Amino acid sequence: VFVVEHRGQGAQGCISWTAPSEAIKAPWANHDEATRDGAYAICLATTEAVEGLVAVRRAENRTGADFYVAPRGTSVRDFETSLRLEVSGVDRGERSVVVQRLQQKKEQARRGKSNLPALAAVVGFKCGLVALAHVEPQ
Amino acid sequence: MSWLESHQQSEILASEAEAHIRRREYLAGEQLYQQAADFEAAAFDQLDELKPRTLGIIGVSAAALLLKARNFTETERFALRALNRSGLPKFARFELRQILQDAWVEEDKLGADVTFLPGRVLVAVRGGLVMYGGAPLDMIVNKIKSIQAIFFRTIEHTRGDPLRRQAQPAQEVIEACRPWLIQAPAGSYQFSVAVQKPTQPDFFRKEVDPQVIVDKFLTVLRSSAADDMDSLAAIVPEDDYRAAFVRLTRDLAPTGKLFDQMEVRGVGDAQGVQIGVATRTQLTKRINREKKGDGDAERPETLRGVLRAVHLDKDWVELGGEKEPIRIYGVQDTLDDVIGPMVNRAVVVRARRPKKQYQLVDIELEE
Repeated sequence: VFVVEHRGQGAQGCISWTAPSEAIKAPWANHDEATRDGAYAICLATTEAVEGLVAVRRAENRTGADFYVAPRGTSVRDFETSLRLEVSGVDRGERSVVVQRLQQKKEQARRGKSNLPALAAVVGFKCGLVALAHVEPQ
Repeated sequence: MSWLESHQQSEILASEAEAHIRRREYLAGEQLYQQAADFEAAAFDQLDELKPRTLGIIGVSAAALLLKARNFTETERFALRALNRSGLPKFARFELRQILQDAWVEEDKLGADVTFLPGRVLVAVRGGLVMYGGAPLDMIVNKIKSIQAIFFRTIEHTRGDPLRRQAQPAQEVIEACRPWLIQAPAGSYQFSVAVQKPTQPDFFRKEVDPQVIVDKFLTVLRSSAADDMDSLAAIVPEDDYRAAFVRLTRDLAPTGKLFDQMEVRGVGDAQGVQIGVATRTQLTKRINREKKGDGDAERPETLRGVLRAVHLDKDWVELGGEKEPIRIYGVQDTLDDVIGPMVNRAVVVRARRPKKQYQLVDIELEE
């Protein structure tokens, strides 16, 4: 069970999945990648459940790739109206670390260094928290 | 083919490339990234200024793909061309400049006389007095020394050396596996550390994948920063080495006065190791807890002053200040690379005085 914090409100969300076998775990044993990919899965599911936004496009950046999201059912012909989904995962930190990470994302946006407007989502695996925020450049 | 079809083709190829890189099939991955970049560049050329945000995103994407393909000449050519397009939004100009700088650094490394191990560690500090591209010199020098110390100790641990308590690392360690400081694109204040490839083939007693050093460095840092002693013990079973890594990581962490966040990540990794003020508090508690012996019931006193003298062989350090110098004993467990950078600097010492002599619990730089 994860707590979802969004627009000053808290809600609970249940996630169920099939436990991976040892054969599946072995090639995915990189801790960073597992955290990142787990964060992608949970944040995409949360964004769809809470905001009705689904991933529609993907574009590369220096360190990985960005997801772009738009309302479900939208025919996306360009990036002009879609939002960038900025995902971050915290494997062991408590709630304060998740909140701090979200604050960093908002600060980056405030300084106008990112291709925003965007939706920032941070998942804390240990504390079971997903924090979402809309971030706009100044 | 429309711009959107080109972009979709690029998305597919980039995903395949990423899967190859994840399996460490670098050549196949880079070839696919090059193909993805070609499609993305074609998409960029078909877009016009009426879609500025799309133009920016696709331009950055094409340049990033060329960088991932390690085609640095073409990355430079494309990034400069894209920067010349009118109507490019501010965020894209910023990111293209970063990619351009990355390409220059990578290309220079290829032309250097030394060979670097695969992988590079990027260090970023944020908050406090740190500004975009600038940070207090003494603070950065201290942090670089701490990072270098953790690197050297990781190398020594991998070689199977016993824990070095005094003196610098062996010259062969410094020369054969020297960490290099490389300029990284500004973003708060950032620098990167690359490790020079050993010149002696028998440097490691058994065959070691060079990437192991960088991976192990990051794992040590991550486990120490998270105060996750189980994970740390899995890769560092020796108590003395583990204590040294915890100690060095604590010294790396911010106090919140000069800066409040550090991120260390392998170049290309999406997730870095986050080291914050809370890390320092948590690790300081651990160090103090582990230093508390039987019968040490009283709370340690906090002493402030300038570290004027160190004599590890005779087991003391001396703190100077406005009053008489204070001598503190019980420093034999303290490592040279921890205490060395503190000489003639303001420090905070926690010490107990069970009898007449102060006994050291902990010492750290005062920021």
